[in-house]
Amino acid sequence: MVEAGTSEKGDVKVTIEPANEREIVIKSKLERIYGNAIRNTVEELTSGITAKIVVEDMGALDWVLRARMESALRKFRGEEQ
Amino acid sequence: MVKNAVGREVPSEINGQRFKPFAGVGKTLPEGRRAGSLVRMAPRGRSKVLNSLEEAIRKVGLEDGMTVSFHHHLRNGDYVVNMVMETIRKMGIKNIRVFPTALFPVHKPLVPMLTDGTIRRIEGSMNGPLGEATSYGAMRETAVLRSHSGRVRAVETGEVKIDVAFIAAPTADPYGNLNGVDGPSACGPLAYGMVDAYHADHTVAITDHLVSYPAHPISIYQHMIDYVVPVEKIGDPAGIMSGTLRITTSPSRLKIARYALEIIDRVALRDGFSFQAGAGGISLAVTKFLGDLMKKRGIKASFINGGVTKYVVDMLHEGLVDVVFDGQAFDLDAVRSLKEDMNHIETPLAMYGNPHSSGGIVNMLDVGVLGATEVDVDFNVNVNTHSDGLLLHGIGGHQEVAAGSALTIVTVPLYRYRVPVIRESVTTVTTPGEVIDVVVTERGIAINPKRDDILEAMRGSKVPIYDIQDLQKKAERICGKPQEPDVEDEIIAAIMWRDGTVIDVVRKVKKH
Repeated sequence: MVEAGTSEKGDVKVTIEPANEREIVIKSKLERIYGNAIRNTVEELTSGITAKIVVEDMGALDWVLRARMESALRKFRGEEQ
Repeated sequence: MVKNAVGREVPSEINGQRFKPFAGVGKTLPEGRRAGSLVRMAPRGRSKVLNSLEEAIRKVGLEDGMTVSFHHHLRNGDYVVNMVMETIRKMGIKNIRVFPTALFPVHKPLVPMLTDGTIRRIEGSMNGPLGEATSYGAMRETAVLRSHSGRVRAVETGEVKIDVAFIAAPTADPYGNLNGVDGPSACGPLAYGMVDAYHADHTVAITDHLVSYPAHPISIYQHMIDYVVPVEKIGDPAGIMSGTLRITTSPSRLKIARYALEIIDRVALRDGFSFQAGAGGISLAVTKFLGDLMKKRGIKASFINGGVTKYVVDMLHEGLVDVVFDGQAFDLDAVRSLKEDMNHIETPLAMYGNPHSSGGIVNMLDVGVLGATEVDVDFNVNVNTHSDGLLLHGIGGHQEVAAGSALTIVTVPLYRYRVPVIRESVTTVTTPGEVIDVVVTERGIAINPKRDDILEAMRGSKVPIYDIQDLQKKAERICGKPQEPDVEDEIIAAIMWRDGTVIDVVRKVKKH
């Protein structure tokens, strides 16, 4: 399992763990306001990846989410940090 | 349903009572005569002190369907509302209309009473859990929210008749003289409770500090109090007082405060000017910076209307202001000053800003600096609902200060976390844009187009000035377009403008 981000307000924590099926879990206090937007970004960045992806959003802006996703995906692929 | 002056569809009947739609500020004129309370007497020699709340409730004859009222000077430290409502529930009295000035998270025990038949509706501010439960449809009837002085107007005109006022009293004597400046649960003024004491058919004071007759100073007088019930504790000081209020340390919030200060300096700052103070982080910073600037310029304010904090008291003691008007004290410095300083004056909420009276303090204000949850491109302000539609805050004095002040400034960040504050349309209209003059964000300010004079005064300033549409677009570019609240048709609350007209409604939020 790999992890990126924090649980600080305004940030987002992303964890990715290997799984046989692709599964995306999104938890956000702003689910009602930005749930769709968060889901779209996560789908876009992880398309074709078979893993369990958990996104715990603390009100992060989209570019913060994208940066945390990229970091988590690189770790997941075993790339140098 | 009819469309009102801010374009919102509102009902003409709420809980079986007729209300007019908001027609514009100052457009709905008062009618009729003031309402009175039951005439009653206290024969010489009869004791007012009772042994229990249950005895008091029995003596005043509280029955099914009646209205009980409370003030919120004890804020999130209050024990009295829960104590009284729990007694009412245990006594099996049903269908009560609760008419508080405001309720807080500490009043969560009232949530089950919304569904067990004890409470039919709440007319008052609901900060937190009660507002949330109401948003999901827990309340049988429709909630009604009024501003501080809009509530006073409703009582004075008879729009709301209070059967029994339960008044938390940090100090009381056996014959019903009350004050809030002494005792273990001291809160400062009792300003919110005064109208209830004058106009309720029956009044019960609840105290944890019974002193010998006569208590002094006196905020609420003996001839308006029927009974006094001593209890062990009326509140928790940690929740009554805010502790040491600190000025914001956020660079962007400080920038907002400095922009606001420059507007005040260019538009309104002169010897003898007046302003509204509050306890929010930005508001405290503006107060502090304003004090420093006044010292530098060698000028003095005529009065500060508060929301009193240590920062205001310091200005009074330094001679930077002649008089402090006090409707609410936020810290112990404010309480002590109210007790000791002759020119720190407790003001009834009727005097604060009842629009249908012979004139409130807010009419004399030069500057009001207010916060907001949302502001839209028509300068309308929302302080009641979050952007997901949940009703989580009261109106407070927002409407009064905005309508009264010669210069009304709303200080807000462009966005909070990911949620844009400047929007195309506010989720709920609390205060109409016609009384908002300048919106100040960390990215720059927007001036209401009808205030050419402010635009003129800001000529040559380094503060960036934008059209409010541009600020809205900036916010949306950073945050992305927010989804609309997921709501049903059912109306769970009405938001009243201070003159008693309906400015907006809040709808039931779908539970996911």
